[in-house]
Order: sequence, then C-alpha cells, then structure tokens
Amino acid sequence: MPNMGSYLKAYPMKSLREFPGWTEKLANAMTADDDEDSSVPRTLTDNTFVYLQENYVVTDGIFLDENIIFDSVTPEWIEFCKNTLFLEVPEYAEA
Amino acid sequence: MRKLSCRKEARKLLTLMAPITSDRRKLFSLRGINYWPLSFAQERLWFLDQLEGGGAVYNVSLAVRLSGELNAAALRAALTEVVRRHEVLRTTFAIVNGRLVQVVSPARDQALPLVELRQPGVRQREMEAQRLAVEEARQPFDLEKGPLLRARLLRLEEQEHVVLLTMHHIISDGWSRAVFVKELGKLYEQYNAVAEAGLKPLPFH
Repeated sequence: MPNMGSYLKAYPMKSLREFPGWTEKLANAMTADDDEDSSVPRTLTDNTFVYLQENYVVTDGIFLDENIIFDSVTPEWIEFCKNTLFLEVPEYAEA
Repeated sequence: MRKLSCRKEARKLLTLMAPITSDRRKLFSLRGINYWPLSFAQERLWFLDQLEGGGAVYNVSLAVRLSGELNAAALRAALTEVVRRHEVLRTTFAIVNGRLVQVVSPARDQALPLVELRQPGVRQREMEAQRLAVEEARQPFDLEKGPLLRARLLRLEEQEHVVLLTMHHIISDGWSRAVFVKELGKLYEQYNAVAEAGLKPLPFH
C-alpha cells in the first residue's frame, strides 16, 4: 500500500515549470490512459495537473512515495512553493 | 496447474483454521495479551483474502459529499473518536502460536489526508475526484498489518468536499457502515461546536 502525506495540493505543470531550477523525471509519470498493464508514462503537458506534497516533493498522483516527478528540494524551491505557489499546509494537517 | 496449487493452498489454510473452529469460543491469551477468535464470516473473508492474494474485491467504499463550511480538524477528531469507540475498526488479523486471531491495536489519531483539487472548472475537479475515489477503492488492504480503514478528504471548492472512506469487509458490513456514518456526523457536530466555542477538544487516553 503506497503512503499518503497529510496534505497535498494540485498544480498545473506550467506553474511548476516556472521555477528556474525545475527538472522533471518524466519516466516516473503515471502510465498512459490509466492502463495498469502499460509501462509507458503519460505525457505531462503544461495543463496536466500533478500534486505538490507537504514535503515539497511533486508527484503524479496523490501518493507520497509513488510517481515522483520532482524531488530536488532546495531552500529556493521551498521559497518558490511558499511565495509563488502559495503552498500553505493547514494547521490541522501539521499535527 | 493453477487449480492444483489453489487446492493445496486451500488445504493449508483450512488446516490453520481448524483449531479455531473446534474451539472457537475461547479467548486466547499469550504473555498477558488477549487474542480473540474470528467470527465465521471473518474466517471466510480471511480465507478468501489469503487464497486470492489480498486484492481489493472485499473493499467496502463510501464517498460522502459535504457541502458548506467544513472544519477539517473537527472531522478528523470525529473520525479518531469513532475508531476509538469501535475496536473492530482497530483490528487486524494474525496467526499467533498457530492460531488465527484478531489483534486489537490501541487507539490513536486517525490520518485524514487533505487533497486540494485545483483543476480549472467544476467538471474537471469532479472527474479527478471520481478518479481518486476509484483509485482509492482499488487499493488492497493488508489484513495482518492494517489499518483496515482508510479516509481521505478531497477539497473541490472552499465549501465543497468529498470524504472517501474505505474499509475491508472483514471489519465492516452494511449495518455497521450506517452506524459509522451516523456516529461520524454526530461527533463532527460536537467537535465543531467545541471549536466554534473557542475550546480545544480534550485529548483521550
């Protein structure tokens, strides 16, 4: 069973791609057409929504440890998440 | 070949269950810990789970739409209290000393991950919510490790939420599901009223 964090927020790829240090692990995207037997990752367009997790990792899907698209968490990225993407973990989810 | 393998597995599992069916009423204690035998229905579901390799066939899923202002902290507190009240919701199934038993875990805070959907347009958010509901319902449970209850909160809009509740049938049926939802609603009202009064819920022990 994959793990879930306590809070995550959906963003379009184009918002995330605005970060200067952005890189993406495209091979980790969910499989195309939700086909479990397929091993072909789906294409992440600017309008594809992915999830920014509470630990600032970006995943294609809601699970913390699956389909990780971006995990180069630096102080600059954290600042971008807070100030540009306005990621704010609700108090109740922090407990 | 598969049939033969299945028959062998089934025989092995039935052997494991035999001592319980012949002496099923007795509580089993080991090193001061009490272990309860399974009901017949639970035995059947455990057996099928072992035989079929832990799929999601016996998942019981529920999606509850909540319109209006929602206090997520109060909902999480209510969920924690429902699980505290009902031991079966904290129960897993293990083989201890060669016996198949129920293991009740201590009460603890329940996780209620909040997923904020921000896709443009109501229809897109509804579709994503549906996709997540299906995905959630398809996630198998591990009857030995547990927990056998999962909850997720999807926020579609500021005042539009969906709670996804998934349990394994071994700890839940139609009747108990109705009780679960009723208690969750009542307790939510109480915790929300406490929050509105500016009081923090007291911790339970």
